[in-house]
Amino acid sequence: MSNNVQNTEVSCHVELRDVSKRYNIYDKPTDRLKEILLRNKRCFHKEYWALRDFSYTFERHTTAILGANGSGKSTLLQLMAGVVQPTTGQIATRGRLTAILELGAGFQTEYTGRENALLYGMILGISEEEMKDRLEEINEYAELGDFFDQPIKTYSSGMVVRLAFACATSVDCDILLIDEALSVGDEHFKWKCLKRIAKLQEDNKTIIFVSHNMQTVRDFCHSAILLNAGKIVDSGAVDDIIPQYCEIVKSKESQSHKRFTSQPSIL
Amino acid sequence: MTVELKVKISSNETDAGSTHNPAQMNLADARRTLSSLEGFLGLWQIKNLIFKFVWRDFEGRFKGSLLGAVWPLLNPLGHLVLYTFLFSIVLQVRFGGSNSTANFALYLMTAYIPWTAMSEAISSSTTRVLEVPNLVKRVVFPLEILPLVLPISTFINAIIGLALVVAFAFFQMGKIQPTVLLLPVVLIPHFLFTAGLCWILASIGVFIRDCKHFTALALAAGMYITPIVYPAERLPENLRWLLYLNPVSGMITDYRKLLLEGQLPEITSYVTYSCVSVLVCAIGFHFFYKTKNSFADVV
Repeated sequence: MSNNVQNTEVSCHVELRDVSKRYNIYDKPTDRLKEILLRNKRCFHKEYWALRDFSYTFERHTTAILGANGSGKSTLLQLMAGVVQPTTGQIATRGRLTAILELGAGFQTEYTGRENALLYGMILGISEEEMKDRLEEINEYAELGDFFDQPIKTYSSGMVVRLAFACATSVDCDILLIDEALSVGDEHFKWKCLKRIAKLQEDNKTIIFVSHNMQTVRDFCHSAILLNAGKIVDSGAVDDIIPQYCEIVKSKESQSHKRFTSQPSIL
Repeated sequence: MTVELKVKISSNETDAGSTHNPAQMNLADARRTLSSLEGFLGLWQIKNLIFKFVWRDFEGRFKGSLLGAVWPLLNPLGHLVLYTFLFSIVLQVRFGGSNSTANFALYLMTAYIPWTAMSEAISSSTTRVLEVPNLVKRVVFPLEILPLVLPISTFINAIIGLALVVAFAFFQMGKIQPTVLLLPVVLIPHFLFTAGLCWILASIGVFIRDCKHFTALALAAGMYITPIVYPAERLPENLRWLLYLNPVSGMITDYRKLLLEGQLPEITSYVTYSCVSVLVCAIGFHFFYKTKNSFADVV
Protein backbone atom coordinates (compact mmCIF):
# COMPACT_ATOMS: atom_id res chain seq x y z
CA MET A 1 0.00 0.00 0.00
CA SER A 2 2.70 2.46 0.92
CA ASN A 3 5.72 0.89 -0.74
CA ASN A 4 5.18 3.09 -3.76
CA VAL A 5 5.41 6.25 -1.71
CA GLN A 6 9.12 6.28 -1.13
CA ASN A 7 9.73 5.88 -4.80
CA THR A 8 9.10 9.45 -5.86
CA GLU A 9 11.26 9.03 -8.96
CA VAL A 10 8.45 7.07 -10.54
CA SER A 11 6.01 9.53 -12.03
CA CYS A 12 3.12 10.08 -9.68
CA HIS A 13 0.05 10.75 -11.66
CA VAL A 14 -3.62 10.09 -12.10
CA GLU A 15 -4.65 8.64 -15.39
CA LEU A 16 -8.27 8.51 -16.46
CA ARG A 17 -9.46 6.73 -19.54
CA ASP A 18 -12.98 7.03 -20.97
CA VAL A 19 -14.32 7.64 -17.51
CA SER A 20 -18.05 8.23 -17.19
CA LYS A 21 -20.14 8.55 -14.10
CA ARG A 22 -23.83 7.98 -14.26
CA TYR A 23 -26.12 8.70 -11.36
CA ASN A 24 -29.32 6.76 -11.38
CA ILE A 25 -32.18 8.81 -10.14
CA TYR A 26 -34.69 6.69 -8.29
CA ASP A 27 -38.17 7.67 -7.29
CA LYS A 28 -38.06 5.36 -4.29
CA PRO A 29 -34.99 4.15 -2.38
CA THR A 30 -36.19 0.54 -2.60
CA ASP A 31 -35.98 0.65 -6.39
CA ARG A 32 -32.22 0.83 -6.11
CA LEU A 33 -32.06 -2.31 -4.01
CA LYS A 34 -34.45 -4.12 -6.34
CA GLU A 35 -32.12 -3.36 -9.20
CA ILE A 36 -29.04 -4.56 -7.34
CA LEU A 37 -30.77 -7.79 -6.39
CA LEU A 38 -32.17 -8.38 -9.86
CA ARG A 39 -28.76 -7.58 -11.34
CA ASN A 40 -30.05 -4.94 -13.73
CA LYS A 41 -32.58 -7.19 -15.42
CA ARG A 42 -35.22 -4.54 -15.03
CA CYS A 43 -34.86 -0.80 -15.09
CA PHE A 44 -36.28 1.35 -12.30
CA HIS A 45 -34.44 4.62 -12.77
CA LYS A 46 -33.80 7.73 -14.79
CA GLU A 47 -30.22 8.40 -15.81
CA TYR A 48 -28.10 11.43 -15.14
CA TRP A 49 -24.57 11.61 -16.52
CA ALA A 50 -22.39 13.73 -14.25
CA LEU A 51 -19.31 13.00 -16.32
CA ARG A 52 -19.03 11.59 -19.79
CA ASP A 53 -16.11 9.95 -21.61
CA PHE A 54 -13.43 11.77 -19.74
CA SER A 55 -9.86 10.94 -20.66
CA TYR A 56 -6.95 12.83 -19.24
CA THR A 57 -3.66 12.26 -17.47
CA PHE A 58 -2.82 14.57 -14.62
CA GLU A 59 0.92 15.06 -14.61
CA ARG A 60 3.37 16.14 -11.97
CA HIS A 61 2.47 19.77 -11.94
CA THR A 62 -0.51 21.82 -10.90
CA THR A 63 -3.66 21.48 -12.95
CA ALA A 64 -6.75 23.55 -12.44
CA ILE A 65 -10.19 22.19 -13.16
CA LEU A 66 -12.54 24.92 -14.28
CA GLY A 67 -16.22 24.81 -14.96
CA ALA A 68 -19.49 26.29 -13.89
CA ASN A 69 -21.54 24.74 -11.09
CA GLY A 70 -22.82 21.33 -12.05
CA SER A 71 -20.25 20.79 -14.76
CA GLY A 72 -18.84 17.69 -13.07
CA LYS A 73 -15.79 19.05 -11.25
CA SER A 74 -16.62 17.59 -7.87
CA THR A 75 -17.65 14.28 -9.38
CA LEU A 76 -14.31 14.16 -11.14
CA LEU A 77 -12.43 14.75 -7.90
CA GLN A 78 -14.53 12.18 -6.06
CA LEU A 79 -13.76 9.64 -8.76
CA MET A 80 -10.04 10.32 -8.56
CA ALA A 81 -10.12 10.12 -4.78
CA GLY A 82 -11.80 6.74 -5.13
CA VAL A 83 -14.84 7.54 -3.02
CA VAL A 84 -17.25 6.98 -5.89
CA GLN A 85 -16.79 4.36 -8.56
CA PRO A 86 -16.83 5.15 -12.28
CA THR A 87 -19.70 3.71 -14.28
CA THR A 88 -17.38 3.02 -17.19
CA GLY A 89 -13.71 3.53 -17.87
CA GLN A 90 -10.59 3.17 -15.79
CA ILE A 91 -8.75 5.29 -13.29
CA ALA A 92 -5.19 4.53 -12.34
CA THR A 93 -3.48 6.46 -9.58
CA ARG A 94 0.12 6.06 -8.68
CA GLY A 95 1.42 7.47 -5.43
CA ARG A 96 -0.24 8.45 -2.18
CA LEU A 97 -3.29 10.53 -2.86
CA THR A 98 -4.87 12.89 -0.37
CA ALA A 99 -7.95 14.94 -0.99
CA ILE A 100 -9.81 17.83 0.57
CA LEU A 101 -13.29 17.34 -0.84
CA GLU A 102 -16.02 19.87 -0.07
CA LEU A 103 -14.53 21.01 3.23
CA GLY A 104 -13.40 18.51 5.79
CA ALA A 105 -11.62 15.33 4.92
CA GLY A 106 -13.75 12.52 6.26
CA PHE A 107 -13.76 13.94 9.75
CA GLN A 108 -15.92 12.53 12.52
CA THR A 109 -17.72 15.38 14.23
CA GLU A 110 -17.74 13.64 17.62
CA TYR A 111 -14.00 13.07 17.63
CA THR A 112 -11.44 15.66 18.64
CA GLY A 113 -9.15 17.30 16.12
CA ARG A 114 -6.26 15.21 17.40
CA GLU A 115 -8.16 11.95 17.02
CA ASN A 116 -9.33 12.91 13.57
CA ALA A 117 -5.81 13.73 12.46
CA LEU A 118 -4.62 10.39 13.79
CA LEU A 119 -7.47 8.58 12.09
CA TYR A 120 -6.81 10.39 8.85
CA GLY A 121 -3.26 9.08 8.81
CA MET A 122 -4.30 5.56 9.72
CA ILE A 123 -6.81 5.47 6.87
CA LEU A 124 -3.97 6.36 4.53
CA GLY A 125 -1.93 3.50 5.95
CA ILE A 126 0.46 5.57 8.08
CA SER A 127 1.39 3.91 11.36
CA GLU A 128 0.08 5.39 14.58
CA GLU A 129 3.57 6.20 15.88
CA GLU A 130 4.57 8.00 12.72
CA MET A 131 1.37 9.97 12.77
CA LYS A 132 1.74 10.91 16.43
CA ASP A 133 5.06 12.53 15.62
CA ARG A 134 3.33 14.77 13.13
CA LEU A 135 0.41 15.81 15.30
CA GLU A 136 2.13 18.81 16.85
CA GLU A 137 3.21 20.00 13.42
CA ILE A 138 -0.37 19.65 12.18
CA ASN A 139 -1.77 21.59 15.12
CA GLU A 140 0.84 24.28 14.73
CA TYR A 141 0.01 24.69 11.08
CA ALA A 142 -3.76 24.65 11.56
CA GLU A 143 -3.45 27.14 14.43
CA LEU A 144 -6.16 25.43 16.45
CA GLY A 145 -4.50 25.84 19.83
CA ASP A 146 -6.56 24.26 22.60
CA PHE A 147 -9.34 23.44 20.17
CA PHE A 148 -7.17 20.61 18.87
CA ASP A 149 -8.46 18.52 21.78
CA GLN A 150 -12.09 19.55 21.36
CA PRO A 151 -14.63 17.68 19.21
CA ILE A 152 -14.79 18.83 15.59
CA LYS A 153 -18.46 19.75 16.02
CA THR A 154 -17.38 22.76 18.07
CA TYR A 155 -15.18 24.08 15.24
CA SER A 156 -15.96 26.92 12.90
CA SER A 157 -15.92 26.03 9.20
CA GLY A 158 -12.62 27.85 8.82
CA MET A 159 -11.07 25.72 11.53
CA VAL A 160 -12.26 22.50 9.91
CA VAL A 161 -10.70 23.49 6.61
CA ARG A 162 -7.47 24.49 8.30
CA LEU A 163 -7.26 21.10 9.97
CA ALA A 164 -8.19 19.31 6.74
CA PHE A 165 -5.55 21.18 4.80
CA ALA A 166 -2.93 20.60 7.49
CA CYS A 167 -3.67 16.86 7.57
CA ALA A 168 -3.75 16.41 3.83
CA THR A 169 -0.46 18.18 3.27
CA SER A 170 1.46 16.82 6.27
CA VAL A 171 1.41 13.18 5.24
CA ASP A 172 3.91 13.19 2.35
CA CYS A 173 1.29 12.96 -0.32
CA ASP A 174 2.24 12.59 -3.97
CA ILE A 175 -1.07 13.69 -5.35
CA LEU A 176 -3.18 16.37 -3.72
CA LEU A 177 -6.78 17.11 -4.67
CA ILE A 178 -8.23 20.40 -3.45
CA ASP A 179 -11.88 21.23 -3.98
CA GLU A 180 -12.49 24.92 -3.35
CA ALA A 181 -11.19 24.48 0.18
CA LEU A 182 -9.45 27.80 0.27
CA SER A 183 -12.58 29.85 -0.28
CA VAL A 184 -13.62 29.49 3.38
CA GLY A 185 -10.36 30.53 5.01
CA ASP A 186 -9.38 34.10 5.77
CA GLU A 187 -6.65 35.93 3.87
CA HIS A 188 -3.96 34.92 6.33
CA PHE A 189 -4.82 31.23 5.96
CA LYS A 190 -5.15 31.45 2.19
CA TRP A 191 -1.72 32.95 2.01
CA LYS A 192 -0.36 30.17 4.21
CA CYS A 193 -2.00 27.49 2.07
CA LEU A 194 -0.68 28.93 -1.12
CA LYS A 195 2.78 29.07 0.38
CA ARG A 196 2.56 25.40 1.22
CA ILE A 197 1.18 24.59 -2.22
CA ALA A 198 4.17 26.42 -3.69
CA LYS A 199 6.42 24.24 -1.55
CA LEU A 200 4.69 21.10 -2.84
CA GLN A 201 5.11 22.39 -6.38
CA GLU A 202 8.83 22.72 -5.78
CA ASP A 203 8.86 19.07 -4.71
CA ASN A 204 7.25 18.17 -8.02
CA LYS A 205 3.98 16.88 -6.63
CA THR A 206 0.85 16.39 -8.65
CA ILE A 207 -1.70 18.95 -7.54
CA ILE A 208 -5.23 19.10 -8.87
CA PHE A 209 -7.06 22.23 -7.98
CA VAL A 210 -10.66 23.33 -8.24
CA SER A 211 -11.20 27.02 -7.74
CA HIS A 212 -13.45 29.79 -8.91
CA ASN A 213 -10.83 32.38 -8.17
CA MET A 214 -9.21 33.09 -11.52
CA GLN A 215 -6.36 35.04 -9.96
CA THR A 216 -5.26 32.05 -7.88
CA VAL A 217 -5.56 29.79 -10.89
CA ARG A 218 -3.47 32.16 -12.98
CA ASP A 219 -0.80 32.47 -10.33
CA PHE A 220 -0.46 28.85 -9.36
CA CYS A 221 -1.53 26.46 -12.07
CA HIS A 222 0.56 25.25 -14.95
CA SER A 223 -2.32 23.96 -16.99
CA ALA A 224 -6.07 23.86 -16.84
CA ILE A 225 -8.95 21.82 -18.12
CA LEU A 226 -12.42 23.15 -18.76
CA LEU A 227 -15.52 21.10 -18.08
CA ASN A 228 -19.03 21.84 -19.18
CA ALA A 229 -22.08 19.64 -18.66
CA GLY A 230 -19.93 16.65 -17.74
CA LYS A 231 -17.72 16.84 -20.79
CA ILE A 232 -14.22 18.11 -21.28
CA VAL A 233 -14.31 21.23 -23.45
CA ASP A 234 -10.65 22.00 -23.73
CA SER A 235 -7.36 21.57 -21.96
CA GLY A 236 -4.12 23.44 -22.16
CA ALA A 237 -2.36 26.52 -20.86
CA VAL A 238 -4.16 28.47 -18.18
CA ASP A 239 -4.26 31.65 -20.25
CA ASP A 240 -6.04 29.86 -23.10
CA ILE A 241 -8.62 28.22 -20.89
CA ILE A 242 -9.64 31.07 -18.61
CA PRO A 243 -11.25 33.18 -21.39
CA GLN A 244 -13.31 30.17 -22.47
CA TYR A 245 -14.43 29.62 -18.91
CA CYS A 246 -15.43 33.25 -18.56
CA GLU A 247 -17.48 32.93 -21.72
CA ILE A 248 -19.42 29.96 -20.38
CA VAL A 249 -20.11 31.77 -17.13
CA LYS A 250 -21.18 34.88 -19.02
CA SER A 251 -23.56 32.97 -21.29
CA LYS A 252 -25.12 31.37 -18.22
CA GLU A 253 -25.49 34.79 -16.70
CA SER A 254 -27.25 36.23 -19.71
CA GLN A 255 -29.56 33.21 -19.84
CA SER A 256 -30.66 33.64 -16.27
CA HIS A 257 -30.89 37.37 -16.83
CA LYS A 258 -33.27 36.76 -19.71
CA ARG A 259 -35.32 34.41 -17.59
CA PHE A 260 -35.56 36.96 -14.83
CA THR A 261 -36.59 39.80 -17.07
CA SER A 262 -39.03 37.72 -19.10
CA GLN A 263 -40.84 36.28 -16.10
CA PRO A 264 -42.82 39.37 -15.09
CA SER A 265 -44.24 39.71 -18.60
CA ILE A 266 -45.65 36.18 -18.38
CA LEU A 267 -47.32 37.02 -15.14
CA MET B 1 0.38 22.88 -24.88
CA THR B 2 -2.80 21.10 -25.93
CA VAL B 3 -0.97 19.09 -28.56
CA GLU B 4 1.72 18.14 -26.09
CA LEU B 5 -0.88 16.84 -23.65
CA LYS B 6 -2.63 14.80 -26.28
CA VAL B 7 0.61 13.16 -27.28
CA LYS B 8 1.14 12.32 -23.65
CA ILE B 9 -2.19 10.52 -23.44
CA SER B 10 -1.52 8.31 -26.41
CA SER B 11 1.95 7.47 -25.17
CA ASN B 12 0.42 6.38 -21.88
CA GLU B 13 -1.53 3.70 -23.66
CA THR B 14 1.68 1.79 -24.19
CA ASP B 15 2.81 1.70 -20.60
CA ALA B 16 -0.65 0.94 -19.31
CA GLY B 17 0.63 -2.46 -18.21
CA SER B 18 2.96 -0.93 -15.68
CA THR B 19 0.26 1.41 -14.39
CA HIS B 20 -1.90 -1.52 -13.45
CA ASN B 21 0.84 -3.39 -11.67
CA PRO B 22 -0.92 -4.56 -8.49
CA ALA B 23 2.14 -3.92 -6.33
CA GLN B 24 1.97 -0.24 -7.18
CA MET B 25 -1.70 0.24 -6.62
CA ASN B 26 -2.86 2.47 -3.86
CA LEU B 27 -5.88 1.98 -1.65
CA ALA B 28 -8.27 3.61 -4.09
CA ASP B 29 -7.28 1.15 -6.77
CA ALA B 30 -7.23 -1.79 -4.45
CA ARG B 31 -10.83 -1.15 -3.48
CA ARG B 32 -11.97 -1.65 -6.99
CA THR B 33 -10.22 -4.88 -7.73
CA LEU B 34 -10.13 -6.97 -4.54
CA SER B 35 -12.46 -9.92 -4.24
CA SER B 36 -14.45 -10.18 -1.05
CA LEU B 37 -12.23 -13.01 0.22
CA GLU B 38 -9.17 -10.81 -0.13
CA GLY B 39 -11.14 -8.02 1.52
CA PHE B 40 -11.95 -10.31 4.43
CA LEU B 41 -8.32 -11.32 4.90
CA GLY B 42 -7.39 -7.66 4.60
CA LEU B 43 -9.28 -6.99 7.82
CA TRP B 44 -6.28 -8.37 9.67
CA GLN B 45 -4.01 -5.75 8.14
CA ILE B 46 -6.15 -2.93 9.45
CA LYS B 47 -6.58 -4.41 12.91
CA ASN B 48 -5.13 -1.25 14.48
CA LEU B 49 -7.86 0.80 12.91
CA ILE B 50 -10.47 -1.70 14.14
CA PHE B 51 -9.11 -1.55 17.71
CA LYS B 52 -9.15 2.22 17.54
CA PHE B 53 -12.84 2.17 16.69
CA VAL B 54 -13.65 -0.47 19.30
CA TRP B 55 -11.93 1.64 21.94
CA ARG B 56 -13.78 4.68 20.72
CA ASP B 57 -17.06 2.79 20.94
CA PHE B 58 -16.33 1.95 24.57
CA GLU B 59 -15.43 5.50 25.41
CA GLY B 60 -18.44 6.85 23.59
CA ARG B 61 -20.77 4.76 25.73
CA PHE B 62 -19.43 6.04 29.01
CA LYS B 63 -18.45 9.58 28.15
CA GLY B 64 -20.86 12.25 29.19
CA SER B 65 -23.20 10.00 31.12
CA LEU B 66 -23.64 10.52 34.83
CA LEU B 67 -22.87 6.99 35.97
CA GLY B 68 -20.40 6.28 33.17
CA ALA B 69 -18.82 2.84 33.34
CA VAL B 70 -21.48 1.59 35.78
CA TRP B 71 -24.15 1.44 33.07
CA PRO B 72 -22.99 -1.74 31.31
CA LEU B 73 -23.46 -3.49 34.66
CA LEU B 74 -26.50 -1.60 35.83
CA ASN B 75 -28.45 -2.25 32.68
CA PRO B 76 -28.42 -6.08 32.79
CA LEU B 77 -28.89 -5.98 36.56
CA GLY B 78 -32.02 -3.91 36.17
CA HIS B 79 -33.38 -6.35 33.61
CA LEU B 80 -32.37 -9.23 35.83
CA VAL B 81 -34.52 -7.92 38.65
CA LEU B 82 -37.37 -7.19 36.27
CA TYR B 83 -37.38 -10.55 34.52
CA THR B 84 -36.78 -12.50 37.72
CA PHE B 85 -39.76 -10.84 39.32
CA LEU B 86 -41.98 -11.44 36.33
CA PHE B 87 -40.99 -14.93 35.26
CA SER B 88 -39.68 -16.55 38.40
CA ILE B 89 -41.93 -15.06 41.07
CA VAL B 90 -45.13 -14.29 39.16
CA LEU B 91 -45.12 -16.93 36.42
CA GLN B 92 -43.16 -19.58 38.36
CA VAL B 93 -40.75 -20.53 35.54
CA ARG B 94 -38.12 -23.02 36.78
CA PHE B 95 -34.73 -24.06 35.42
CA GLY B 96 -32.67 -27.22 35.97
CA GLY B 97 -34.92 -28.76 38.58
CA SER B 98 -34.21 -26.17 41.27
CA ASN B 99 -36.87 -23.99 42.76
CA SER B 100 -34.75 -21.12 44.03
CA THR B 101 -35.05 -17.66 42.59
CA ALA B 102 -31.24 -17.31 42.63
CA ASN B 103 -31.02 -20.31 40.34
CA PHE B 104 -33.47 -18.72 37.95
CA ALA B 105 -31.43 -15.55 37.95
CA LEU B 106 -28.29 -17.49 37.02
CA TYR B 107 -29.97 -19.34 34.17
CA LEU B 108 -31.50 -16.14 32.95
CA MET B 109 -28.25 -14.18 32.96
CA THR B 110 -26.18 -16.83 31.15
CA ALA B 111 -28.66 -16.52 28.31
CA TYR B 112 -29.60 -12.87 28.57
CA ILE B 113 -26.06 -11.47 28.49
CA PRO B 114 -25.01 -13.12 25.19
CA TRP B 115 -28.40 -12.30 23.73
CA THR B 116 -28.07 -8.61 24.57
CA ALA B 117 -24.56 -8.54 23.09
CA MET B 118 -26.05 -9.85 19.87
CA SER B 119 -29.19 -7.72 19.78
CA GLU B 120 -27.38 -4.49 20.70
CA ALA B 121 -24.85 -4.99 17.91
CA ILE B 122 -27.54 -5.86 15.38
CA SER B 123 -29.86 -3.00 16.24
CA SER B 124 -27.11 -0.38 15.94
CA SER B 125 -25.75 -1.90 12.75
CA THR B 126 -28.78 -0.78 10.72
CA THR B 127 -27.85 2.90 11.00
CA ARG B 128 -24.08 2.54 11.40
CA VAL B 129 -23.10 3.56 7.87
CA LEU B 130 -25.64 6.38 7.68
CA GLU B 131 -24.15 7.92 10.82
CA VAL B 132 -20.82 8.57 9.15
CA PRO B 133 -21.48 10.20 5.77
CA ASN B 134 -18.02 11.79 5.90
CA LEU B 135 -16.30 8.44 5.89
CA VAL B 136 -18.44 7.30 2.98
CA LYS B 137 -18.18 10.34 0.76
CA ARG B 138 -14.94 12.12 1.56
CA VAL B 139 -12.29 9.47 2.04
CA VAL B 140 -11.54 5.95 0.94
CA PHE B 141 -12.35 4.22 4.17
CA PRO B 142 -12.62 0.47 4.77
CA LEU B 143 -16.31 0.72 5.64
CA GLU B 144 -16.56 -3.01 6.35
CA ILE B 145 -14.95 -2.46 9.75
CA LEU B 146 -17.84 -0.32 10.99
CA PRO B 147 -20.41 -3.14 11.33
CA LEU B 148 -17.64 -5.41 12.69
CA VAL B 149 -16.72 -3.03 15.50
CA LEU B 150 -20.21 -3.28 17.02
CA PRO B 151 -20.19 -7.01 17.89
CA ILE B 152 -16.55 -6.83 18.99
CA SER B 153 -17.34 -4.23 21.60
CA THR B 154 -20.64 -5.77 22.76
CA PHE B 155 -19.07 -9.23 23.00
CA ILE B 156 -16.23 -7.89 25.15
CA ASN B 157 -18.95 -6.52 27.41
CA ALA B 158 -20.64 -9.92 27.39
CA ILE B 159 -17.44 -11.71 28.39
CA ILE B 160 -17.10 -9.43 31.41
CA GLY B 161 -20.76 -10.01 32.27
CA LEU B 162 -20.43 -13.80 31.94
CA ALA B 163 -17.34 -13.76 34.16
CA LEU B 164 -19.48 -12.11 36.85
CA VAL B 165 -22.16 -14.76 36.34
CA VAL B 166 -19.56 -17.50 36.84
CA ALA B 167 -18.37 -15.79 40.02
CA PHE B 168 -21.96 -15.57 41.22
CA ALA B 169 -22.48 -19.24 40.35
CA PHE B 170 -19.45 -20.08 42.46
CA PHE B 171 -21.02 -18.44 45.51
CA GLN B 172 -24.34 -20.07 44.79
CA MET B 173 -23.26 -23.62 43.98
CA GLY B 174 -19.88 -23.69 45.64
CA LYS B 175 -17.94 -24.76 42.55
CA ILE B 176 -16.97 -23.64 39.09
CA GLN B 177 -17.63 -26.06 36.25
CA PRO B 178 -14.42 -26.94 34.36
CA THR B 179 -16.38 -26.60 31.10
CA VAL B 180 -16.33 -22.82 31.66
CA LEU B 181 -12.98 -22.89 29.88
CA LEU B 182 -14.73 -24.05 26.73
CA LEU B 183 -16.77 -20.84 26.55
CA PRO B 184 -14.97 -19.61 23.37
CA VAL B 185 -16.22 -22.72 21.58
CA VAL B 186 -19.73 -21.28 21.68
CA LEU B 187 -18.75 -17.62 21.76
CA ILE B 188 -16.93 -17.75 18.42
CA PRO B 189 -19.82 -19.12 16.29
CA HIS B 190 -22.18 -16.75 18.08
CA PHE B 191 -19.86 -13.84 17.28
CA LEU B 192 -19.53 -14.85 13.61
CA PHE B 193 -23.29 -15.19 13.32
CA THR B 194 -23.79 -11.73 14.81
CA ALA B 195 -21.09 -10.13 12.65
CA GLY B 196 -22.64 -11.62 9.50
CA LEU B 197 -26.06 -10.25 10.36
CA CYS B 198 -24.51 -6.86 11.20
CA TRP B 199 -22.89 -6.67 7.78
CA ILE B 200 -26.07 -7.59 5.96
CA LEU B 201 -28.27 -5.21 7.94
CA ALA B 202 -25.75 -2.36 7.79
CA SER B 203 -25.84 -2.58 4.02
CA ILE B 204 -29.60 -2.95 3.71
CA GLY B 205 -30.03 -0.10 6.18
CA VAL B 206 -28.31 2.26 3.76
CA PHE B 207 -30.79 1.56 0.99
CA ILE B 208 -33.94 0.96 3.00
CA ARG B 209 -34.36 3.29 5.94
CA ASP B 210 -37.20 1.25 7.50
CA CYS B 211 -34.71 -1.52 8.14
CA LYS B 212 -34.12 -0.35 11.70
CA HIS B 213 -37.80 -0.50 12.64
CA PHE B 214 -38.17 -3.95 11.21
CA THR B 215 -35.00 -5.12 12.96
CA ALA B 216 -36.17 -3.78 16.31
CA LEU B 217 -39.39 -5.74 15.97
CA ALA B 218 -37.61 -8.91 14.83
CA LEU B 219 -35.20 -8.69 17.77
CA ALA B 220 -38.04 -8.30 20.25
CA ALA B 221 -39.71 -11.36 18.77
CA GLY B 222 -36.39 -13.22 18.70
CA MET B 223 -35.96 -12.64 22.41
CA TYR B 224 -39.13 -14.64 23.12
CA ILE B 225 -38.84 -17.41 20.55
CA THR B 226 -35.36 -18.12 21.91
CA PRO B 227 -35.41 -19.95 25.26
CA ILE B 228 -34.00 -17.10 27.32
CA VAL B 229 -36.61 -16.44 29.97
CA TYR B 230 -37.89 -20.02 29.93
CA PRO B 231 -36.21 -23.42 29.50
CA ALA B 232 -36.44 -25.00 26.04
CA GLU B 233 -38.50 -27.88 27.45
CA ARG B 234 -41.32 -25.51 28.37
CA LEU B 235 -42.08 -24.84 24.74
CA PRO B 236 -45.14 -26.85 23.59
CA GLU B 237 -44.31 -29.89 21.47
CA ASN B 238 -45.99 -28.49 18.36
CA LEU B 239 -43.83 -25.36 18.50
CA ARG B 240 -40.46 -27.11 18.97
CA TRP B 241 -39.61 -26.56 15.31
CA LEU B 242 -39.03 -22.91 16.22
CA LEU B 243 -35.99 -24.00 18.22
CA TYR B 244 -34.53 -25.96 15.35
CA LEU B 245 -35.03 -23.11 12.92
CA ASN B 246 -33.34 -20.66 15.25
CA PRO B 247 -29.58 -21.22 15.52
CA VAL B 248 -29.39 -18.88 18.51
CA SER B 249 -31.49 -21.19 20.67
CA GLY B 250 -28.85 -23.92 20.27
CA MET B 251 -26.16 -21.46 21.30
CA ILE B 252 -28.11 -20.25 24.31
CA THR B 253 -28.66 -23.83 25.47
CA ASP B 254 -24.94 -24.49 25.13
CA TYR B 255 -23.99 -21.38 27.10
CA ARG B 256 -26.01 -22.79 29.98
CA LYS B 257 -24.56 -26.26 29.58
CA LEU B 258 -20.99 -24.99 29.66
CA LEU B 259 -21.27 -22.36 32.37
CA LEU B 260 -23.83 -23.83 34.76
CA GLU B 261 -24.39 -27.52 34.12
CA GLY B 262 -20.86 -28.66 33.33
CA GLN B 263 -21.98 -30.53 30.23
CA LEU B 264 -20.56 -30.54 26.73
CA PRO B 265 -22.61 -29.20 23.79
CA GLU B 266 -24.60 -31.76 21.87
CA ILE B 267 -22.53 -32.45 18.79
CA THR B 268 -25.16 -32.39 15.99
CA SER B 269 -26.70 -29.17 17.18
CA TYR B 270 -23.24 -27.63 17.70
CA VAL B 271 -21.99 -28.56 14.23
CA THR B 272 -25.22 -27.32 12.65
CA TYR B 273 -25.20 -23.88 14.21
CA SER B 274 -21.45 -23.48 13.71
CA CYS B 275 -21.86 -24.15 9.99
CA VAL B 276 -24.81 -21.78 9.81
CA SER B 277 -22.76 -19.11 11.59
CA VAL B 278 -19.78 -19.41 9.27
CA LEU B 279 -22.14 -19.29 6.31
CA VAL B 280 -24.02 -16.24 7.60
CA CYS B 281 -20.71 -14.49 8.29
CA ALA B 282 -19.38 -15.24 4.81
CA ILE B 283 -22.58 -14.22 3.05
CA GLY B 284 -22.85 -11.11 5.21
CA PHE B 285 -19.35 -9.92 4.44
CA HIS B 286 -19.68 -10.71 0.76
CA PHE B 287 -22.98 -8.85 0.56
CA PHE B 288 -21.61 -5.79 2.34
CA TYR B 289 -18.43 -5.78 0.28
CA LYS B 290 -20.30 -6.01 -3.00
CA THR B 291 -22.77 -3.27 -2.15
CA LYS B 292 -20.48 -0.80 -0.36
CA ASN B 293 -19.31 0.84 -3.58
CA SER B 294 -22.81 2.16 -4.15
CA PHE B 295 -23.07 3.65 -0.65
CA ALA B 296 -21.55 6.95 -1.74
CA ASP B 297 -24.32 7.35 -4.33
CA VAL B 298 -27.04 7.02 -1.70
CA VAL B 299 -25.80 8.44 1.62
